[in-house]
Amino acid sequence: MKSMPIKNRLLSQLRLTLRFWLERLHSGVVLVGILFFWMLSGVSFAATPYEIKPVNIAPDTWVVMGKNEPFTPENGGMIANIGIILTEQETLVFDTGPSRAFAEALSVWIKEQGGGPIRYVLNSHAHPDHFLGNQVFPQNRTYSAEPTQRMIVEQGPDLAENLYRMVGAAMKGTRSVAPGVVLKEGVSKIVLGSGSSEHQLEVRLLDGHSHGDLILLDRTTGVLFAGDLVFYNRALTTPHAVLNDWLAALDQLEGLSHSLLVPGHGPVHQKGEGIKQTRDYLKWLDKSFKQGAEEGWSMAEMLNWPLNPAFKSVVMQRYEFTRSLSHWYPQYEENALKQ
Amino acid sequence: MSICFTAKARNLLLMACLSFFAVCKPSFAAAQPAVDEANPLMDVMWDYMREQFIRDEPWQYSARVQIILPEFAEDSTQVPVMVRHQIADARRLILFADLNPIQHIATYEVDAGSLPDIGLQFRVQQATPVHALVQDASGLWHVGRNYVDASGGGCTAPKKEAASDDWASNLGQIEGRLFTRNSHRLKVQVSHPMDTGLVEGVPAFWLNEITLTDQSATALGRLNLSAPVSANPRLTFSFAKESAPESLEGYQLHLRDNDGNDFTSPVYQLNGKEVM
Ligand SMILES: [Zn+2]
Repeated sequence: MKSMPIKNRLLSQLRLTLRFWLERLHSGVVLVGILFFWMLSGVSFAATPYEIKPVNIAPDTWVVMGKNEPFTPENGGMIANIGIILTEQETLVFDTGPSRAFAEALSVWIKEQGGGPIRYVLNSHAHPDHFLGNQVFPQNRTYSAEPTQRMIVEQGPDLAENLYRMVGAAMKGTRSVAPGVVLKEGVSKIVLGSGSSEHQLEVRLLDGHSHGDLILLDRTTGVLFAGDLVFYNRALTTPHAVLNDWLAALDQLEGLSHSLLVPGHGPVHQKGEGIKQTRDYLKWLDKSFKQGAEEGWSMAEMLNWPLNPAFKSVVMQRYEFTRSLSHWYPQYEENALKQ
Repeated sequence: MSICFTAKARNLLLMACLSFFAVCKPSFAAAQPAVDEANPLMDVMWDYMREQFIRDEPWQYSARVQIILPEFAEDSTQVPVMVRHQIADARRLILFADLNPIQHIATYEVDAGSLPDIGLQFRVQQATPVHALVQDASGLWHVGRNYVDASGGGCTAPKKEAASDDWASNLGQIEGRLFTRNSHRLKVQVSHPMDTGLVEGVPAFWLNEITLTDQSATALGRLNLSAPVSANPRLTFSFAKESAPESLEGYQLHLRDNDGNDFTSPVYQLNGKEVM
């Protein structure tokens, strides 16, 4: 994909033009306006200390539950679920969170719990709430699918910058580090720990939510870490999603025997519910966009498309619907026009 | 950085600003829409912009001009907007984003029939108020306004618009369809890079004149676009069925860009068939 830094140049040019006008015309009002905004937004310039309180969901298995919120300074970007399998001999982390400070707090917690050295760091995919803690861990022990590594190399710094803008001080010192090891297609088997705390693990590479979704199944405990292939009671996100691949990945997840599923976002739950909800929600999005495009609604009008009461337990729907509309609707419109 | 304002200091400043705005608030009697009364950026440019677009012509805020916008721009290069109105005898529409470097987005002038509701996508440079001005036959401007925040959802890197390498091959290609369920709704997508000219080394190159006609090339209205309209514009024109001229059998678009290229769409027939 060829892309030029046009936008950056455009933006700086625009910014200059704009500043010129604003200064000339209304400098006083603008200054007060900006101050006013800052006060309303309540952005603190002090670093947000992360309170890491992992929940024990199975033997040796913990999850830092992400908040079901957009990125904000208050939550420090801690919106995704982060998994830990911790044994005396060695420790695995499934995703590294949104920032350096988060991952440092996580490391401290692992030590306090008596966890062994961090042997495996898995990146489920290349979204910033999942991998921007990488720099705290050894790069040669950080694993992902190839497309994930590539996207972090290519877009990681931009993604980090974007998160700085939305989260602010909590991101201090964070920089994007790509995983050092790319996993082969198919199933990679890992044995973590030994003796009574031995875990037989399988890592699989799928796609659909992103171009390279990594999942982890613990055959010993029956816990499945599904990454963002499963959202539960929190509206799913689609910035790099491919509908049919995602649906196929859900079928594969369903075929994996497990007793507990850790979604990328939303509560840990028994087998089935989250997969079904994710599938139903995707199908509903697809149906809504198809119908909207077939009836000729403009993208702006679609903003008010009625949400589905069947998903009343799902939070953040309107927000994510607005985002998915931006990611997906233009293609549906184009298809409808070409008929 | 050790600068840390306390909540108290912030509240004090807030109070100061509020009183500042209370003093400076313009005192016209026209009913203001309830939206964003507290948004200090809403009116920053309004007086100046109004002067640019309608000089000293009479105007009033009106709830009968609605701008549908998302609360935030997930993709700042493709912000959807639709202007709907219930102004009888509307003759002209002006749409602009106050804090864009090129503020003007689109103007539509009615030649025959009515002013359609118009939908398109445009670029924003930062959070900005958006104003839509609809002029009726008496000359009065009815003003609707809204606001879009520019920060997106975060899972996407700030979007760099890809250089339009292949535009020459499909420049001016038009995909369109007429939907006639509840209204006469013409939706088209036109292949065009819509370069703003604000990028060094890339000259301004955009579709600026679109004439909407009936089946026999009689003008219904003219849409002038400015460069902030997104690349490969998707345009929606929605006419109330009852306001269609009696002779109307179909719609056709005649487009021209600032480089003098002309493009013509097929006639989109009301009976559903396209005729070249
Ligand atoms: Zn994700």
